[in-house]
Amino acid sequence: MGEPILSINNLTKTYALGLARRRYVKALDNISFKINKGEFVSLVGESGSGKTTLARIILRLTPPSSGEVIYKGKNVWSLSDEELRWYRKEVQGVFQDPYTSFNPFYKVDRALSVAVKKFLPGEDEHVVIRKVLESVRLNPDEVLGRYPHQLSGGQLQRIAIARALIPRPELLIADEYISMVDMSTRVDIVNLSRDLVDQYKMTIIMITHEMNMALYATDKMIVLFKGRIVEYGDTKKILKDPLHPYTQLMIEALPRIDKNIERKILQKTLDAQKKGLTESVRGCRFAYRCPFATERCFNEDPVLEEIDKDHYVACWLHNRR
Amino acid sequence: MARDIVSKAQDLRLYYILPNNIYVKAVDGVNIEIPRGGFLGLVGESGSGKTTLAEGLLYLIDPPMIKISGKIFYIRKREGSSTEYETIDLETLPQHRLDQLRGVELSLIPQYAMDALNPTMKIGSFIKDVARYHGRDVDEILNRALERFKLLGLPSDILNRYPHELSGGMRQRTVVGISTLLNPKFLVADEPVSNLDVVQQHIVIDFLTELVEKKIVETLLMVTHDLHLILEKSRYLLLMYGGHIVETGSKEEVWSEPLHPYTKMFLESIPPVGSRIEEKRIRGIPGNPPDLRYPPPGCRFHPRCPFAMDICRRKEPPEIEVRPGRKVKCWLFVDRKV
Amino acid sequence: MVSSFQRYIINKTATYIVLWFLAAFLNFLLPRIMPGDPIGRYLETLYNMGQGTTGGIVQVVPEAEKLRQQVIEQFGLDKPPYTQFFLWLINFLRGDWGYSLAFPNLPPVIDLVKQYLPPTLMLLIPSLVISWVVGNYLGAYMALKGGKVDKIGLSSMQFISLIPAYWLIIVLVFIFGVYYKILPVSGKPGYMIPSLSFDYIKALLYHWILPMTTITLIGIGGWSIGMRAYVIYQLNANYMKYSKALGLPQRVLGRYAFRNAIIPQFIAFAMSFGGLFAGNLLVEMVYGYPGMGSLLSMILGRLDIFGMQAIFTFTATMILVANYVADIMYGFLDPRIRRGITEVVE
Repeated sequence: MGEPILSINNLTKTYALGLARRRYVKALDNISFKINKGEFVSLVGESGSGKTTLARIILRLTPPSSGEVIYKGKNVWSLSDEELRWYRKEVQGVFQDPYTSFNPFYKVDRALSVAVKKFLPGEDEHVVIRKVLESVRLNPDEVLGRYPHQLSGGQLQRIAIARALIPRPELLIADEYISMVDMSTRVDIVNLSRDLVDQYKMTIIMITHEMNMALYATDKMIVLFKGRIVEYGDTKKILKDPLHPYTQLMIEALPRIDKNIERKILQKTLDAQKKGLTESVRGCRFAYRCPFATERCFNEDPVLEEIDKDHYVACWLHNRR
Repeated sequence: MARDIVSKAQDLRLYYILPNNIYVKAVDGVNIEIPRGGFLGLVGESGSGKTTLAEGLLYLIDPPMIKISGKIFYIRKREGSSTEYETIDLETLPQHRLDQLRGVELSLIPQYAMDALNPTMKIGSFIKDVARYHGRDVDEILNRALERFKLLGLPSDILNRYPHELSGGMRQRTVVGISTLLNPKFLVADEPVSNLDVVQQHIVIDFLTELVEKKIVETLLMVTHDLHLILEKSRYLLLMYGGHIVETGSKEEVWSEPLHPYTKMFLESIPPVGSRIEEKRIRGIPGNPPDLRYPPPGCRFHPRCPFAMDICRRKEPPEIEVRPGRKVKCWLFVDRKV
Repeated sequence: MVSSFQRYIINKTATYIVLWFLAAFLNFLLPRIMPGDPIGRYLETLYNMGQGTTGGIVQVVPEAEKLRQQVIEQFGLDKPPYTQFFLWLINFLRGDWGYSLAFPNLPPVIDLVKQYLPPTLMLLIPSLVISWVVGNYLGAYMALKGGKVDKIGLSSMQFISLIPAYWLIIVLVFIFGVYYKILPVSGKPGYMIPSLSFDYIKALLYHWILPMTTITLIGIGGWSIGMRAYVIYQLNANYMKYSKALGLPQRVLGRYAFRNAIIPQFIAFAMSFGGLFAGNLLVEMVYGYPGMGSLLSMILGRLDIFGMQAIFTFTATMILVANYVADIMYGFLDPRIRRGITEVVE
């Protein structure tokens, strides 16, 4: 595969909370991973996992407390002005709420033509826009000339993706981009992302809390829990054999039609939650919820270790050291 | 039969009136009977009118929502009788009688649970008010609240806290607790787990299921966009699309033999757990949901329906009762019945 | 460890001290850079005492330039500006507010304030309190009743609040002073010199009724419109919909709405308090009521820079104090500030 397109090295982000009683919360705690060109990667986590912070750091919207983001060999947080322009062209973001991504007072055409003027000066605006809309499987005649409120969430999110595609980026960061789209059209957005990866060799990082969609379509999966990576690797391997109890919990919790599916980890977690035990301060963050936790889990931080080829887990159950 | 039905709407039209005098036809000619007992689901996507219908069934109709036509009934056991039922027209009920029913027999977990609590009131004070104005023993209700909040995984000092001292997830669960505190007979839960993580989702759904199983809550109508969420626990489903009820039936029937093309395509649009895109590509429903300000003529689903016939574009389909309790609103089934 | 509420108070205090310095500086600066010739104007006043005529003294009296120099030296206006500012500021804080150029005998400004402030407070405090109480009650009533009561109430309150005060007092004077002759047509208690004597107060009270009524009526209009808007906002809040869905009766919902709507009104009340110290210029002038407004009009008219800087700084101080109190009160009234905004992490 050669050089990864994006490497995250020991990234930590600490937030200070509270006006008076100042507490420090680690939104991201020493995160490292690599992404290769042409991969569809999912970053799965629930609220509080730090997944949105990670997206913001990669997109240069929030500075990290420590650690590096390396894109094509360059540290993203120490780019020259010229490199920064290049980076802003190569790496694009798509966000959760399509209705706030567009100015409600302008037709959606404007957002697209602004992007063409900025990134592709000299090219025929009309042609570029129609082409890019077709590439996200929209009929240009149906959406051009309309205001955001005249379009559905799904249409608008596709236009947001189209806009992000205008500078012909290599890396697309999609932060919860399906969570506000109707259930019945969500899968199409994910399918579209898959095709962008397969056909144009794009790299997409899909940040989501929807385990289901991540398992369905992505090549690589990173599971975050309370600011740490608990499991990371080939999605198919994780689907077949989830190693970390938290990953197992996320998959276990997915709804099924059969009534009496056994949910061991979920049950244990529910019990722990009712006792008010939710998060351990030392050791594995998941220990209190974990049915398999041992003394060690409560005291020592597990290390992310490659258990199988392209399958990493941070859990004392699997750790050989 | 009155004993089998807890709530009923006839020819119900609930519109929102926009400042420019345009109507949003959120519920547009709905006839339904909500069966009595158990865990039921009202499923629809954004803009289907499900929240409007849910609030309408409790006669929570306030501007800008207005009732254009129709009747809303609540059916309950006549007091002092074990066999007789009475049908109450909620519209003609005097305000104070309606207030007496609300919270006690009819209750709502609102969609806006995150900010459903008075910001300047402690949770405990609000519960005291609810108990007091329904003539209950305040201490008994407070104790019950503590017990239930514990089941919902909430901290023990919760009664003494203000809403802003709770996280979003905690607020949502607090509202779940308060709405069920007086053991309502008919509970409408509108997206009660939308802002919760998976563990909390299961806490809330298990809590509600337990109330239903113990018959503390007789009928639970869960309103959701996420069919999978209620697939395990519910027994009966109502599906809504574009302001209409398009299909009703037991969960098993709807799941294994969906009738309406919308239901069918909706069920097929969600990747089953463990499926992979390389093996089988799941397709969403093509097209877009209708704009309820200007709904399409005929069947609301016809622009997206692969089976649409000429009549579907012209005339609103009738409701076909395939079996008792099993209904579909689609032209495809008109001949089959005859 | 300070609590978040203590920190809130400390932050507010620091902010207000900075604001006060800024205000004092502007009040020192502005009268000095405004167009006009304050010293010349004072010399005119002096000259006119003897002559009974008006006219540019500079042309009339040959030694005008010398006199002007004298005055400038006397008042220290030849010193560098920052020295003047700090000297003035220290004196102001000590209670030495300088001498007024608006009167030939150069009375101390603080004596003028002591003389004109009580009638103003006597006029404005009761009218503020009454209009606040009545206005809030009316506003809440309109909002809770809705329908016709609200429509008629709101439009009449809007009408009242929009009437210019000087016009209303003229109308009231015409009705009660000219037509029925039961109340005086002017606010000045005749020949009497303002003092704290019983007779003067009695006379003042008699002259107090009309301006008091005017200001109160107009105040009621404003307060009730504000309260109505706040109550309606509360009635549309989600917590209200939820309380209704739980069957709490209308009167309880009204109580919730009132309690939450009155918080900003308390704040506005406290803030309005500061404004009282400036008096009500138009009403006092039109009616000739001997309060701060009248004093201010004299000082402005005679380009009295010392009077201006002192009185403006005084009123600015009172406004800032009132706002400060309002901010602290807000902290007490709103649990979100009182109990601290804590991020709740589960």
